[in-house]
Amino acid sequence: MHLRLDLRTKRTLERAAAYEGKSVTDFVLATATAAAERVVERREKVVLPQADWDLFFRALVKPPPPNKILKAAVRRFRDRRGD
Amino acid sequence: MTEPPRIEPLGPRHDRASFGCAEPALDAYLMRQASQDIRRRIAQVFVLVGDTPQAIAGYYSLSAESFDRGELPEAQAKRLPHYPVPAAILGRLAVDQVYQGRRYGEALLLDAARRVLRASEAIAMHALIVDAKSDAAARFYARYGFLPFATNTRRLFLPLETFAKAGL
Repeated sequence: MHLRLDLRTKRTLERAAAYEGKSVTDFVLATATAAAERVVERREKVVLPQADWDLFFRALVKPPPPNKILKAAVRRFRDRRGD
Repeated sequence: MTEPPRIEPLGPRHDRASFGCAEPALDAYLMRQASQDIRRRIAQVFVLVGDTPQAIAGYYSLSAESFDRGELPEAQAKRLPHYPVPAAILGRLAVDQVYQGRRYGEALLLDAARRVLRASEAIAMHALIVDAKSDAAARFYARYGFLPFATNTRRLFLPLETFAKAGL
């Protein structure tokens, strides 16, 4: 990854990296990665309302048995694949 | 005995432009967004091959999210386990109108569930979550035992354990 920096930005990065005892590359990578992880977590983590969470968690702790329609569908699926 | 439907990752040979289901948004996704999502590793898209190797009879997209609950009063929070629960999201599932009535929706759903179940042997994942685009689509999933969330009845889920018990 090539970055085009103005002089001022470059100086700031060099100073910050020096304070942290890191190379500029390591400093940029570490801070950018941390910011990226925050964005990914915000986008990919869903916070459920209490009522939804209760329902979800209870079902995971005690999974419902498959119903007849699901069982029949699995049989068809396996037959088609020749399992 | 008919040939089993062939389901494979979406690739350049598939004719995305000819695909037409009942939801224009699902056609548009395949046409404009799907390849980009795959490239950026946001989602995986699988297609059910139609009467020619290029034809798309149906497709689905899978991605992963983790689910957590909001903040609770401290006393309650201590009693309940609290960690994000990783789950697979079946964000889109569609069958071309020409191929209706062949149980292709079911074939796509079970193929997705099976892939997720296999993946969960390597990486912890606890549920398959589906986003239905209409109430009719929500009823389709409910028939197989999917449970609707309380605050959004078009989002339903089923623990992977239930698929495992069904022998998938």
